[in-house]
Amino acid sequence: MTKRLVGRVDLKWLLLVPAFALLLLAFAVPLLSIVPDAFGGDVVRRFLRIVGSPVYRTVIWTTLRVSLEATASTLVISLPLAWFLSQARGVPALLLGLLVLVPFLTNVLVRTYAWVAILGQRGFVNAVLLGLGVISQPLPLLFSEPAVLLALVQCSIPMMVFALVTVLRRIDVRILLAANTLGANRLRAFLDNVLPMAVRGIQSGVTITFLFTMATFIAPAFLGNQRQQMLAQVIQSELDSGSDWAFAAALGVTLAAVATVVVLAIAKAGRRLSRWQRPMAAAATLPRAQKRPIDQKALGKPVGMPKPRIRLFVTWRGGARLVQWSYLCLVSVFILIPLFVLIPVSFSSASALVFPPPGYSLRWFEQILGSPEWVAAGLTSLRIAAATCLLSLILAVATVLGMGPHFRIRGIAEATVLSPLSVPAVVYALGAYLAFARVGLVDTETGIVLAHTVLVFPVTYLVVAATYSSIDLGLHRAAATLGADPLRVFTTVLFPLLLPGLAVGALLATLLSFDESVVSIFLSNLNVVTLPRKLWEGIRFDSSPEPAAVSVVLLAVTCVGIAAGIAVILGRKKKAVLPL
Amino acid sequence: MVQIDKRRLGKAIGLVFLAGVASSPLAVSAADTARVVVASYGGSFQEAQSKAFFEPSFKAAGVSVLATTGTSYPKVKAMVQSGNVTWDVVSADAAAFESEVKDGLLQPIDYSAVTADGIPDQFRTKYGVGYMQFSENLAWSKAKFPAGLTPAQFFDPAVKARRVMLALPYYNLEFALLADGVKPADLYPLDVDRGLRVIDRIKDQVVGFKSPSDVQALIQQGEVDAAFAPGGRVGNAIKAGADWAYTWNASVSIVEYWAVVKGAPHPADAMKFINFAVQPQQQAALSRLIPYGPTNVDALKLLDPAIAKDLPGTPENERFGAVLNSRWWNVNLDAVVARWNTYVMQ
Repeated sequence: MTKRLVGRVDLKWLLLVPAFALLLLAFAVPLLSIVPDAFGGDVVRRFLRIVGSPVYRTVIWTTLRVSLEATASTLVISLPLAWFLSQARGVPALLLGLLVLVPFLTNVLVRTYAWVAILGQRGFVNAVLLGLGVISQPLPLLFSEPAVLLALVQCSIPMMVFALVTVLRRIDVRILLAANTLGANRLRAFLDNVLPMAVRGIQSGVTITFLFTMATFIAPAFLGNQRQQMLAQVIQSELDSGSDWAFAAALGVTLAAVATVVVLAIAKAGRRLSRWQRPMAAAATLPRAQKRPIDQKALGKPVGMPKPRIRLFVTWRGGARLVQWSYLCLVSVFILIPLFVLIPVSFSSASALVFPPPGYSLRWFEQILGSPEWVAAGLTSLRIAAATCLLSLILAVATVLGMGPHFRIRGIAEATVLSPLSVPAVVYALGAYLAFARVGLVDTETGIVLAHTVLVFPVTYLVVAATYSSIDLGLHRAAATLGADPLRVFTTVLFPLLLPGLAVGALLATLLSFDESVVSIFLSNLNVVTLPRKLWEGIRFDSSPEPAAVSVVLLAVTCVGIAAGIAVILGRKKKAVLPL
Repeated sequence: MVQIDKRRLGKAIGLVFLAGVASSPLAVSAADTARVVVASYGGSFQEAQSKAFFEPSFKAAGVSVLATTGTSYPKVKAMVQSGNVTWDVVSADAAAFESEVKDGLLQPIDYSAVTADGIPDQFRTKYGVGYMQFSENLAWSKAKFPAGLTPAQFFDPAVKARRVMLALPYYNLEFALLADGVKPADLYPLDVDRGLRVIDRIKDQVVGFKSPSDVQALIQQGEVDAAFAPGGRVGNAIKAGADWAYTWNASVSIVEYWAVVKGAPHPADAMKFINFAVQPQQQAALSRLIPYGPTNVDALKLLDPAIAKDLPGTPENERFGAVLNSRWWNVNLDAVVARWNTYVMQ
């Protein structure tokens, strides 16, 4: 028995091998190949220049502040949305899912450009305010921190919502009913019951969002103010200006260090708070005296609502409904508003991105769908995305199972798994080129798939891990007691329960890889041409509306998929004998 | 369960690695059919280059060209450092070119194979041949400034306008000094202090220091009233409907080079291609397709005067401005970029 147990523990560790081998070979080794740049020569002076200069200290502080503000705002905005999505079934679920996906399906260049048309001097917002007579001069909304925050929050919503949904779906809604019976109102029930159970989901969503906002450079460069530059943006421009490669690499190291500290802090906070999640474990390990006193105030109260409060109760319910609907409307507008720019622009007759377009035509769709080069690039990106998705899912499941529920060094292991997200893409791209060139992986789809897997695997890991942590381990044990071997337990119990997390992970992995441009551009050359590379080149000289047209095609394909799903659900409903 | 899964995983990963290693030599050999690989930027510029240089090269010079995209200083550096050079010729703007020269990433041009007497000596450098010129121009909204805008007015705080400038120190400093009355001949060595003082006068009216594509978008959306930006971008914006005008006054032109990467697989053919692409006929062909100026003075004679008058780097237009001195920048880039970044962020 003991022998078997030891054997199992050892084998479990083996499950971690593939992921850590990938991180070592395709992430750590590439980074080491540029370390001589960051650490060669006068290292001390270089890092002193960063830490010692008030300008770079400001940049680090701005990066931290903006990323934390964006993450906090995204969490507050996404939490209710994720809750509704997790509770919705059938058609509403599909529609909400489509809404959340929109920012992910729109190209980052056009999305950022759309904010200029919305917040600019002649943008929507100023036009409305001027029309209403609220202001007499257009407000300077652009080139400010709020403008950058809006853009960052809008495109972070999908990742946050999906990270939360995987965990929220697991929550038994009867708990809310119970809380209600015990006298808690809806808000209190949500805050006291749902939130503590969703800690793992919140932790993974917050971590992903924070790391992604910290590494973005397009939105801060275009919409921001030069006095509030972010670190990734500074690194990008240092590399572009071609001056001091070593300094850019040192800035990259600084960014990664700051990010790692924050991620560790988030993980620590998550672990502290998630004690709530396993009341069983807490009861077994904590002595009685240390248990938190149970809130018994509600126990003495009558279960039914006293009569005089009924009126209040009705208005409260009505009010809650109103709040819920106005929240959904506002969030929808916020998520969808760039489409009001993007869709018209994709039908533009002009050769550049102009809003409103001077005329309309289908030329950009003809250009994209009619040219074999564009179609081939699209298919290449699709192939790469599919392979990346599969690979990162397999790695994520293996890693999550390998760590199991009570992994001792989870903190360090998770920080390692997440580290690719904290390194600026352009720094990693440089290293990957140098390392991959040695083994002939540059300019191959395999090379790009490996690099994308390094970047995407942390996200799938977080989503799958959050789902795994919400699975009741009792089921696992029950199946084992009933005689199922570990494989059977996995296929019949764990896998079906992991499925929602896997689906979300697959979706995020595919879309992230499909849209990735920095590493693809760097690692591709003659043989591999991806869609983002072609789009990027089009923008460089023409600011052409091609990315808008590509986004509309993607949106259209997704809408058709969702519509098909709705048709299936409605058809099933009609046939059903019993109401579902 | 654990074992089986592990084995499957190992197999999958192993296959992926194997596939990568196996496919790469094939990939290289497929590209390696005695075709000169030329790396440029993609987009409309590369389309024009294809018509003017790449497509006719085989028939006229016997060199067949395989064109690709993505030329940039970091990528050339990574390619040479990794020892896996697949590009022969790169198109490089003066800034990238000088960085590549400084890091020893290029091989000398063989001037016994590259002969173009019409190209002035200053563009026939050891490591590259200047083949095209583009420029950064002062531009303004005609609605805001119907009477036009002078460089001095651009830096006059009393002339209220929403201005935008480029993100990098080069061009901007030259423009500021020219606007402040420095003669083009006396521009270098640049007086960086004075340049920054001039920009400082209107810094609070500069909405941003942006990249070229961002500047074009801001012009088109009516976000700014005056800009110092690439002339080609301003031209694109005007073509797309912006009611703007630009001047050659205090313009700064810059040269685009052909260069051969160190360790290039086909150096001899690379020289042949460069020789073909710098001939007057080909240079004129490019200028007919896209409004950039030739370096070969004989090419100007082949061009319709209506086209030639609006090209950067022509003697008439250059009279009002200056040519970026990439050699000065080569020596001073690190120090000035560091100062500029600090200045801009303050």
